[in-house]
Amino acid sequence: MIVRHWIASGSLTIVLLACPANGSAYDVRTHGEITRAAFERSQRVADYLTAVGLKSTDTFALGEVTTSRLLADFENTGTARDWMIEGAIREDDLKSHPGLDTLGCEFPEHVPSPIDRSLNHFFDVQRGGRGLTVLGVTLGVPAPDWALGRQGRGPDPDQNQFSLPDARDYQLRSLIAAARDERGRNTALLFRALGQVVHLLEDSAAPQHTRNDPHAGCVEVITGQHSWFEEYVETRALNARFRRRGAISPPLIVEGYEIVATRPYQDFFATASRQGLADLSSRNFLSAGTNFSLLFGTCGGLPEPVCEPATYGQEPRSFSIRTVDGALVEGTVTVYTRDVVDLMAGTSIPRVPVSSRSVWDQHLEQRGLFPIFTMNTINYDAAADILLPRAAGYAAGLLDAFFRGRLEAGISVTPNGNGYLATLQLTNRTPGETMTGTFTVYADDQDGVRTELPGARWNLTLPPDTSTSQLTFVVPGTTSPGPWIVAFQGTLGTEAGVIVAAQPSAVYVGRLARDYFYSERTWSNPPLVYEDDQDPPFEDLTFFWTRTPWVAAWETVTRWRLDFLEYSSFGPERTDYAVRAEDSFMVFYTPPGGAISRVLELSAGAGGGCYERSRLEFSVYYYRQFGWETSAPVSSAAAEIVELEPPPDLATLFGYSHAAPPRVLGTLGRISTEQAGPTLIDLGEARFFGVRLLTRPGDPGPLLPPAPYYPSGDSYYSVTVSCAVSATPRFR
Amino acid sequence: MPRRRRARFGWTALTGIVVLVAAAGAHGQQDPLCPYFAGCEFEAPGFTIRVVDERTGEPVSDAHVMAIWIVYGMYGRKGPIMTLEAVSGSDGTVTFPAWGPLRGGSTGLEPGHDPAISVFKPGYRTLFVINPTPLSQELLARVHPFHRAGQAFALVPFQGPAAETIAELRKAAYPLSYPSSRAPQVVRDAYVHRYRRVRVELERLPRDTEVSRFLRRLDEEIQAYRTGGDR
Repeated sequence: MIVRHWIASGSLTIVLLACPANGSAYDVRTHGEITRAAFERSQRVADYLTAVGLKSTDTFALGEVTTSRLLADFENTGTARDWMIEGAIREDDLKSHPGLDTLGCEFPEHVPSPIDRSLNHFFDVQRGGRGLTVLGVTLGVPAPDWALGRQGRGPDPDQNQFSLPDARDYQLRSLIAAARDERGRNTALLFRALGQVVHLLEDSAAPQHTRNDPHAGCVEVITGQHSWFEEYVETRALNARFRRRGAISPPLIVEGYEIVATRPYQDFFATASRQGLADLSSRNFLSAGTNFSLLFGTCGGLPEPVCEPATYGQEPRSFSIRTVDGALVEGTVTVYTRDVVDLMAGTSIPRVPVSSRSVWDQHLEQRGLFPIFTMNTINYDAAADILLPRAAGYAAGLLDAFFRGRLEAGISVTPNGNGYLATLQLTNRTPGETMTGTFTVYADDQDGVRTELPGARWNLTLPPDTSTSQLTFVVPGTTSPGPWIVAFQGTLGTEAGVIVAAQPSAVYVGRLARDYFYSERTWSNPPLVYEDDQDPPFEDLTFFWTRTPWVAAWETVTRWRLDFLEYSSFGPERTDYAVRAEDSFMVFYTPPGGAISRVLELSAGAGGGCYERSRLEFSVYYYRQFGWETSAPVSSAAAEIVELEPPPDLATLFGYSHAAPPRVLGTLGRISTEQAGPTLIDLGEARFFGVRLLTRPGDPGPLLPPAPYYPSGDSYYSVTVSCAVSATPRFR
Repeated sequence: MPRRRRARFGWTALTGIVVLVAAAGAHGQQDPLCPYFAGCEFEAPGFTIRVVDERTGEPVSDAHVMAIWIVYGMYGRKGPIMTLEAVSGSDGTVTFPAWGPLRGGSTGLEPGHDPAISVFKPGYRTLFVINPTPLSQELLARVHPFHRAGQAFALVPFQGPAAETIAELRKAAYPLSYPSSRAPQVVRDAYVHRYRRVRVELERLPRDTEVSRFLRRLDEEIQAYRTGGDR
């Protein structure tokens, strides 16, 4: 009895000591690659970044990036994608366990953590969905509960701060925090948390995690053998060799499975109809510790797949492996096959080798005396090539679900007394789901400090594909023209605590024009000179600007003469000579973060050029008026696209004039009426740019001799040279 | 757990341990319990190699050579249980002393990387040599010799564009897994010295984003290995 108690309690102690080792999952770079594929395949992630004015190349919280050495050589460059990959790797963070060294447990270098996170990476879906359980002792919470924040979540250091609800918290702060750095830090945390969540979903594609098969390789008697399956898959992720093999392992396959669209989040893991990823891996595959066995043939006590080798297909499979020392190992194993049923896709994959039996060991290296059941790289490859693309498809689906909310925000701003009237219209574009909650508008100042705009908060219920009425609020002239952001916080469909965001796509199009008139009348001195600036220059063209051809720039010079003969007074004939000129500078401003691309395409066949027009009119008072006109091309015309210094606030933006234009920072490109095809102009980071004519209209030259006049009228003669370039803009 | 079940478990565990101990005898020189409870001990005999120029066959001096023995770690992550460094002499000879025994993990050393050799000399391509570990050598064997001891290894002269040079420098800086910052001083020193040599070459390249990032990373690693401990 004493011996039994000693063994039982001693074993339990060892288990508790060794527990951090139990939960290793797909190895870190495998998680990284699956997560990378999920991130890149999720269209909603890309849409979200665009909606909040972020680019895939933007970087966040660079000072908090974990060094590559602690991320299995993965280099986090600070982008959203890399933060997600770092999260996927760091979900395996663990505590330091110095005592375990003495038991032969070699710990990898890791980021110190107050928790052994990997204990919560198991989901025994065939036994009520319990977490990791060893010798009847529950060592961790079920993976979906850990991922979805139902258990283990909290503010204490030994609780989970990277669950799905945590990701929502970080998302909100990434949108509304005042300081730019704080928003960037929370953006990093948002994507890191999502990486940690998808790690847990990816683990559901690992049979050892869904069949309660500990595989630490530390005190193997208790915690199970090191997972050679995961080790091998990692060599595929790293383009490395496996054990003694001379050849590099084949590349990892993570593509090829449709993105899974399901709700709620729990259904990605398991459903009553067995369509979850854990259902698939647990009920279709065996694992090293739940394999067929001649002595302990219970397959871990799990009902599926059935633990009767005789019911499986049996096929001889030859192998030939060249080892690092050049030796050739050749042999044959009998693989046990079954049809893997994918209830989510409604497909069946025939004759998948889920186990092997032969005289060879599990590494296909050593030949024994008796045939044994093992799992080897033939089985590993078969399982990985089915499970990993599904892991990526499910993970991308979860990301799509997280970012599924779609909000459209149109806004226009016009001067209104001492302030500026903003008119906002919101549209819920989320398919089939109503938004109920608070909509708030925030704006950044030029230092990036984000504040809530006064009077810009509404509690609304917005059914799908429905728009609000015009929501108006007045902001002071010190308000930044952008970026503004509308944040929704509330319930989307049936999910509470959802955050959706959009940047109102206000675009300002203006014409800084000068009208110049010089008249030298024969009877007056001094001459009349008149100049005028357009005020205000900006029009709200939010909804029309991309459809309207730009009259990009123009300038005219007209010389004219008016001859009067005043019969009534029989006075002398008089002649007015005048020059009138007009030139304009078109400016376009879209606040940072708007949903436009960064390449401007000006369509083929830019219109315009320089023309000379002559006009002669006769007026005969009370009787008739007639004349003639000729027009002839003079030359082609060209204009340049220049980048302008962005305005710090609305008052500055609306205060620009021809006499006080924005400062030109540089030239972005050039368009000409001679060009045949479309002109592509890389706008780079420019948000404020102008189009200005390069070709100046020439002097029309001396006028013709005075026109003949009629006894009771006058004559008007003018020559105008006018240059313009116009083109249809399109943003790619 | 019911008492009878517990008892059954106890006896089963005891029987299993006895069986495993017996099976462990196959590891020969090792403590037979080491894979199960305490971790195994490893060692390697000293050896000498030569470094020569592939074109001329002449010896290459001042090449930095690392011999790296990789041990499996939990979570499938690996790290060097031992890394030795040496610099080739005027006759191209590099000599590594014997080391061990050192206690490592319970899974053994990685074939091919027990040890692997990394040779770095500016003006040449970085050379990486894997150990032709014979099939007959257990991963858990106590002694892991280099099976190409006494041979000459040829360095290929290289002078290429910056991108290719950076790739060569990366191969030199990160030949295999990273050592833990808690690794023995001799292991960390080998990496620090390699990083410094790589750094010197990196500084000669035009400074762009990639070079800057590489430099920053090397500095971080040097700092970590100099101070030790997790960051």
